[in-house]
Amino acid sequence: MTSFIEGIKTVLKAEEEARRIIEEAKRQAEAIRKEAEAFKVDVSKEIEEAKERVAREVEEKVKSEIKTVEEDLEAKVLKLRSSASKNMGRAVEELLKLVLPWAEGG
Amino acid sequence: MSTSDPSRIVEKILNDARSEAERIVSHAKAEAEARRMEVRKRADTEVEAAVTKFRRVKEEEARRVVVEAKVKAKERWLKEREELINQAMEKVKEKLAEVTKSSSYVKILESLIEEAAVAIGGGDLIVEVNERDSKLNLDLEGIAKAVSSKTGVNTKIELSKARLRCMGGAVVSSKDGRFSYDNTLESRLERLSSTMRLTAARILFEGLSY
Repeated sequence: MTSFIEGIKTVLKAEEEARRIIEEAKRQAEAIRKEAEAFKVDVSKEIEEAKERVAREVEEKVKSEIKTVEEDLEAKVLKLRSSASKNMGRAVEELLKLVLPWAEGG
Repeated sequence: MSTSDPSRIVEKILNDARSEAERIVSHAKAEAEARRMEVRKRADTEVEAAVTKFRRVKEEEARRVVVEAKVKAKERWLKEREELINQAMEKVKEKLAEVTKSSSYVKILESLIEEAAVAIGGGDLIVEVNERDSKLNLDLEGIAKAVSSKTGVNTKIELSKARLRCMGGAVVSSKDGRFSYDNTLESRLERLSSTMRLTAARILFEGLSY
């Protein structure tokens, strides 16, 4: 009889422990839920950061494209000057013929 | 399960409790993760929308800046081109000044007078030249004959006492003042300016385009 009562007590104690384990798990779950609810994203800050990043990217791209335009221009101007320098004498002779077709060589 | 073995009952109770606890916590963690992902997704969508709009505006601005730079570059190229054409035109003026001092100039001036005289149809004509050219030995009679022949109109040409202020060339007028033809070098340069600039561009920049 004594052994039976001891057995019952042990089982009751185990049930008490089981309830405690479940309660502890529920507390943990609640803490996890609260932590998750507290999770927020600072959208304004992320937008600002992303905008700064985009602005830098676009600015770099513009700088690069303008540099290309300027280099292209310089190359074209050099070609113009070189071509003009090479052909100036012939051009002047031809223009002179237009103004004075009777001139020597005209 | 036998009631005579309470330790096995206890073990089962505790194992069940631990499993249930694990399930509760796992479920909470999964829910929390799902919520975090949802919040993250909403934020990403909002950020993406704002940044896409911002990027569009910035890229449009950038496009305008680049187009403006290209337009300015082309303007500079055209200016450079014009300056080189101007240089050619200036050199032509220098050459013309040299021609007016050369021995062949008398014949050239006579040709200029003849061309002007033919243009106004011959007749009784007066020729105006500059002070220097007025001292040249011009064959006005010979020119008149050539003009008569070309126009079929009996032509007489005399030198005016009035003097022009020009580099060279002549202004030929009918004696009655009805017709006049300005064939000074300056006037010819002005009349031929467009053709000359086109010719200069064609020769100076052969095969080049922007």
